[in-house]
Amino acid sequence: MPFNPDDIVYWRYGPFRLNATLAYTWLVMALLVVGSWLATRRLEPTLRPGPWQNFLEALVEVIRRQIREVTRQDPDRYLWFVGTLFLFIALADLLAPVPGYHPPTASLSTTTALALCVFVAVPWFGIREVGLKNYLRQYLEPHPLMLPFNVIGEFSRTLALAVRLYGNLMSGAVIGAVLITLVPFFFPVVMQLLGLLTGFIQAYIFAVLALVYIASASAAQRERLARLRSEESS
Amino acid sequence: MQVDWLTVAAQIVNFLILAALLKRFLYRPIVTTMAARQHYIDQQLQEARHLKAQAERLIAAYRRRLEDLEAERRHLIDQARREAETERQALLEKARIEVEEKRRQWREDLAREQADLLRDLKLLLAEQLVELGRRAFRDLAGRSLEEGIVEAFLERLAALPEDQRHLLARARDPEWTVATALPLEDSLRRRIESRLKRINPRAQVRFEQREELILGIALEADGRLWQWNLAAYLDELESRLRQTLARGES
Repeated sequence: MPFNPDDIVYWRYGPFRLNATLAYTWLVMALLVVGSWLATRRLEPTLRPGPWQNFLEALVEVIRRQIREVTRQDPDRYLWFVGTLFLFIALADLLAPVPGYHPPTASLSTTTALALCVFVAVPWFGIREVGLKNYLRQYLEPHPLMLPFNVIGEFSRTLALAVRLYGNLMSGAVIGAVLITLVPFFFPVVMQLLGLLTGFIQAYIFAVLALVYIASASAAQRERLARLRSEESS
Repeated sequence: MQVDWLTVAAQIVNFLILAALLKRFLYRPIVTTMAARQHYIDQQLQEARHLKAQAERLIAAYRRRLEDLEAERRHLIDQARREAETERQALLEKARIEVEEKRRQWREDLAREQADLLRDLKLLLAEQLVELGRRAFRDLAGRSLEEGIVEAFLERLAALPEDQRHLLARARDPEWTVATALPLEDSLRRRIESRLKRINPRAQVRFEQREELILGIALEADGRLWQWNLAAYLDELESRLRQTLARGES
């Protein structure tokens, strides 16, 4: 089985353990934040942006375009959440070939945490879209008797997402581990290259799946709300 | 593989912090900047469109103005050409008139010169003739030319038709003038005076010298003039000379 970065503990205080997952998560976070800060420190709306600014603008614009294509909505509402998911997973996976680095995404704890974030984000964006009262009312639709089924539906959908995320993230690691046991001598280099690709693909899939769930939920909320309002007005 | 729930909680917090930081340091500035750039580009485009429209209006205006100028230029050239043509015609006409005038003047001058020449010739001829006559009279008859003239005058006076003699005899003005080209001697004057007094006793004769008479004698009495001289001959001579000169001219 693949190596679990949760098991590498650098420092321990009572029940709290500073393991490799957390340490490398912080490293990735630091890289992302410092890189962003350095690049956007002196932003100017000139017609000739510098290379870093250009790169980041292109990156953000690609993410926004993806969000717009998938949701058909204003991308800036979901940008901070979906974009961060994508950037974090992508960078965590891209650093994998660095010696001594353990990708935090290889830990089931990380994928679970991200899945839980999406799990919370789906109702959260829905509530932001239509308001808490309207959002809670959907569980009583079309009849209060349907409440348990609605709740089970919501949970099962989010659970399915979490499992799917985990599956996506784990699959690459599992395939790599299996192949390394089969061809131990020259295969790791090829696997590293493949790992870059799969890491990127995983990041993309995770972000797009999260986006689809959030957007479909909030779009459904909005449609429902619009229907309700039209019924009320008529 | 185990799920460490403490790590899960920490990762959730990590993710939320990361999202907040990236929102603060990445998405917002980038989106703002791009929006600002978009706005800037839109503005520039708007301005460019505005300027282009303005430029097109200007181009149209200038083209119109150029066309106007061209039309005006053509008009001016036409006008100048017409004026030049008129001026040319006027100058030609003027030159023609001047030439005509010159020619006329030249003709007049020529005619005057001819006349002068003829007069000079006439005078010269008369003088020559007078001189010749005088000499001839003196040589042939032993008389002066004046005597001859006076003789002839007296003879003609004697042969004067009756009606004219009658006019003289009844002249109211007694002051008569006898003019000759040459001065007369006193004897001749007395002969003329006595002959005239015979016609009209009241006549008081005054003698005068007039060179234009050339050769001959004239009597003025009571506002009338009787004269006998070479003028008739000289007039004929003059007309002949004139004809001769005209032929030489042409």
